[in-house]
Amino acid sequence: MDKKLNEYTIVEAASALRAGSCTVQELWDVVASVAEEKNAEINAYLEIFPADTDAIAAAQKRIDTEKENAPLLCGIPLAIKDNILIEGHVASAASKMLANHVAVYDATVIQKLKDNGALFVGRTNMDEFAMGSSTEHSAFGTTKNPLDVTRVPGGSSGGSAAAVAAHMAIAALGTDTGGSIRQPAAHCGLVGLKPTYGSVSRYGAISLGSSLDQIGPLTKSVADAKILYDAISGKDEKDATSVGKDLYPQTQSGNTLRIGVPNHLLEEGIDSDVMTAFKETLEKLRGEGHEIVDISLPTSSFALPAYYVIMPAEASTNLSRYDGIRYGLAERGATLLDDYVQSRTEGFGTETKRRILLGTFVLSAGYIDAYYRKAEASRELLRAEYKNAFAVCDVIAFPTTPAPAFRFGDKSDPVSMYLEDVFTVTANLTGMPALSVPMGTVVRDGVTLPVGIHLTAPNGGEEKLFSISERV
Amino acid sequence: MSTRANPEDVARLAALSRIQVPVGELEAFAKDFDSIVAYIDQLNGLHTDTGGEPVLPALHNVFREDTNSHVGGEWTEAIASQFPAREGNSLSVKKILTHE
Repeated sequence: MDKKLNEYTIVEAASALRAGSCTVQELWDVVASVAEEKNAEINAYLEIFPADTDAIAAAQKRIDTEKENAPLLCGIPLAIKDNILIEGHVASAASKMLANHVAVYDATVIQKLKDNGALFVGRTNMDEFAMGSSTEHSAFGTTKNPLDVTRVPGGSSGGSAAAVAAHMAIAALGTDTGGSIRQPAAHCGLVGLKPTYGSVSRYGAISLGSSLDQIGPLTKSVADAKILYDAISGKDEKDATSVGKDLYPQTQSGNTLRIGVPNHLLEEGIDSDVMTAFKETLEKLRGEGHEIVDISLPTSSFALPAYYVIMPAEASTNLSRYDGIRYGLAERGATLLDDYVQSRTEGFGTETKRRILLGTFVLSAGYIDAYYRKAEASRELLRAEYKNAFAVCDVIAFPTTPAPAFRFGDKSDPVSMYLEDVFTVTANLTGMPALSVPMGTVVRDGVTLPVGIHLTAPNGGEEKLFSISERV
Repeated sequence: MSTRANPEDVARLAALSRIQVPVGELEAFAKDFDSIVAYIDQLNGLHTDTGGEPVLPALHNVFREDTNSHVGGEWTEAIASQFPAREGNSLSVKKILTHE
């Protein structure tokens, strides 16, 4: 096997660095040069950072002195989504509104990665403020899927997914509000984890929907996802919603798990070859001794409508902070009101405006009961249904997306784009951890494309997800 | 707005949101709005009154100690460097009260 350094997983790169078969500098040089070379076509990165020679030297020294005890992420070049703050670097959330915004502090996850000796290749493209499923809503051009450049990489963490799939980084961080890590992972053939709400600090992540957002890993393997998750998770006093490992007690599962499948949700709307790949994966797991259980989640059909009430409501509230006064784009008119309106009109893209207007609508007097409060109530029902389902199964499985990566422009009306998230949003509404792992391929127009299986566990059940997805 | 969104509705929401939608784009926004609202209207079919007690999340009412978290002035320059217009360490904004 003649793998190039940039094609390594975290596990392989860490092992090579320890064995001395490559240095941190050599690993960085290969990854950074491939990133530079491929970015003209893929546009995974909005900015590739210059080499941080101090950090590279420090990582090498740590590996040389601590050897096997050095953190696995020490010296590993990672890609970071553009809505996660790295002190001294621009963090724009792929919006004109924040194109000039330089982060004044590190997000907690970045601080933790720095403590582990990790390196940052650059900041990755995304749908503006994480609103989208294709990166077509970026203010700085679309990102192409490295597996078929006529297709989207998914989104909103499409730049992070494309960077890892094209080996322009060893692994990446994304954020997931309704599927923005898991859907691009499925479309690019990667592992993507949306952790339990609160298990990873959101301090220093640019907010979209605060009750839904989580930061998580996009990686080439399940083992890598676990390494990154272990490094970034944990209670953080700077995020009041963050939780410790002991908040959700875990039941022990044996070597075999019970996999719940909500068959009633899978009867229509899914491409037949995606369903075939899903069934074959379940058969394989059954063959290894895992039990497949039919479960019922009747409220699931209301999850996506509820999500498209709650997310815009929270987004319109969160994005009200961008007023052109303190930082970011600052247009000036005749009055103070003109300053606000001109800055926001110029700074936000069409999809962002659409969602701000929608959020303003669902929160307005006369409609808040019918939409926002109803949608919030649905979350309680969903949590109760999942709790009941987890009495008879350990994890719940369905395809991550109904179809493989689509072509640019194929989903130009908003609702068809929103339907990309039909299977992924529930985990954000309930807060439960969910992971997408490749489950095979389908062929479209002569090109082989990956598809993912989506696994959900009860709160705090990340270990169950890692253990079962290793088997897929 | 279960009926149909019209350009005036969009203009009103835009004004509330401190955003200007050009007159020529109001129709397109209203059309998109209609299809989205028709989609989220599915929630009308959901019965949420199950009679059960509301469940409190495992984590709630989080407070931090009321102490100084940093030395005064520690972040001033970093934050002020992002101001679109500054006078010393102050953010410069338009006068909103006048004597005229």
